[in-house]
Amino acid sequence: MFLNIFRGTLSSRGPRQSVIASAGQACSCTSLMCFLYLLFVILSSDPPQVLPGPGPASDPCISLKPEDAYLVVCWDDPVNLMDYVTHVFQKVFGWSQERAHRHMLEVHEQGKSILTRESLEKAEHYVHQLQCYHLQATLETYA
Amino acid sequence: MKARRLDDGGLCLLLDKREWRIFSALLVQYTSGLDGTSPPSHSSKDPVIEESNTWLREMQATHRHNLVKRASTWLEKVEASSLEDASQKMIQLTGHDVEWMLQVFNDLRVSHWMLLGSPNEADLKGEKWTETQLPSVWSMGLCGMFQSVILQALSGSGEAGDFSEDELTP
Repeated sequence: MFLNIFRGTLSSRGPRQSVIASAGQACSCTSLMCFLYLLFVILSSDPPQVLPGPGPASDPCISLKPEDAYLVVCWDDPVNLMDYVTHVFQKVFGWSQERAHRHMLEVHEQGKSILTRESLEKAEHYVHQLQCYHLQATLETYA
Repeated sequence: MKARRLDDGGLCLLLDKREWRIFSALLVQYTSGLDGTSPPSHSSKDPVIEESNTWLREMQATHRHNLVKRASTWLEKVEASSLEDASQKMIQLTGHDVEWMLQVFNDLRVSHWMLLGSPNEADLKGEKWTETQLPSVWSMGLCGMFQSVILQALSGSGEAGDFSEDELTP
C-alpha cells in the first residue's frame, strides 16, 4: 500500500522534476531504488518512543528505562545531623525541603531510603556526591 | 557565631575572638590529618557494583585530599587578612565555600565519633567519657554547633544566629 501511494506521488511530479529524472534516468535508477527502500524502512518502522525521563526527583517505584537498573540507597547512621542530611539531599538532587526532609525521616526511622533509580553512570555520580558529604550511600541493583 | 545568608547563596559569618580561635583550631585539626575516612560501602556480589565501589573509594580519597588542601589555603588566606586587635571577625563565604566547609566540619565530627568507638546516639549523650576522650566529645559538639548555625542560616530559619549591621564593630 505504501509503495502504491509512493508511485502515485512519483507519477504526479511536476515538469521540472520530470526533466531531471529523464536526464539521468539510467544512472539514477539504482539510487532511486535505494532511496525508496530507505524511505520505506523509515516509514514502516515504529515511531521513536519517548519514555518519561526519570530525573533525580522521580520515585523509584515508577517504571523507568530498562537501563535504569541501579538504586541509590542512603543508610542511617548515628552521627550525621538530621538537618545536615536534609540539606545534602536538597543539594545533590535539587529536591524541595519537604521532599528531602521526608527521605531523611525515612532514613532515620526505617534505617534506609531508596533515593532514586538510575543508569549505572548516574547512580555512581549520586553515590559519589552523597559520600562527599560523608553520608552512607550505596549502589544496589534493582531486582 | 552568627550567620546571615547573602543574596548570592553565600553566607556572612560573624565570630568573636574566642569563637574564631575554636573555628580555626578545628580547621587546623582537619588539615593536620584528622580528615575523616571514606564512608563504608556495603559489599556486593555483583561484579559491576564491586568495581564501582572500588572506583568510588578512589574518588573519595581524592576528594578528601582536595578538601584538606582547600581548607588549608582558605585558612591561610583568612588569617593573613585578619586584624590582630579586632574583637570580631566577619567572614564572607561563597555558596561553594559553604558546601566544602559543611563537609569539613562533618568529616571532623565523623572522625571524632570514630575515635570514640562509633557510639550510638544514647551513648554519646552519656557521661562515661574518660579525660582522653573528652576532647573528641567536645570537638564533635563544636563542629555540630558550627554546622547547625550554617544550616539554619541557609534554610532561612536562623533566628538564633542572624545578626544586624549594628552588631558589627568597626
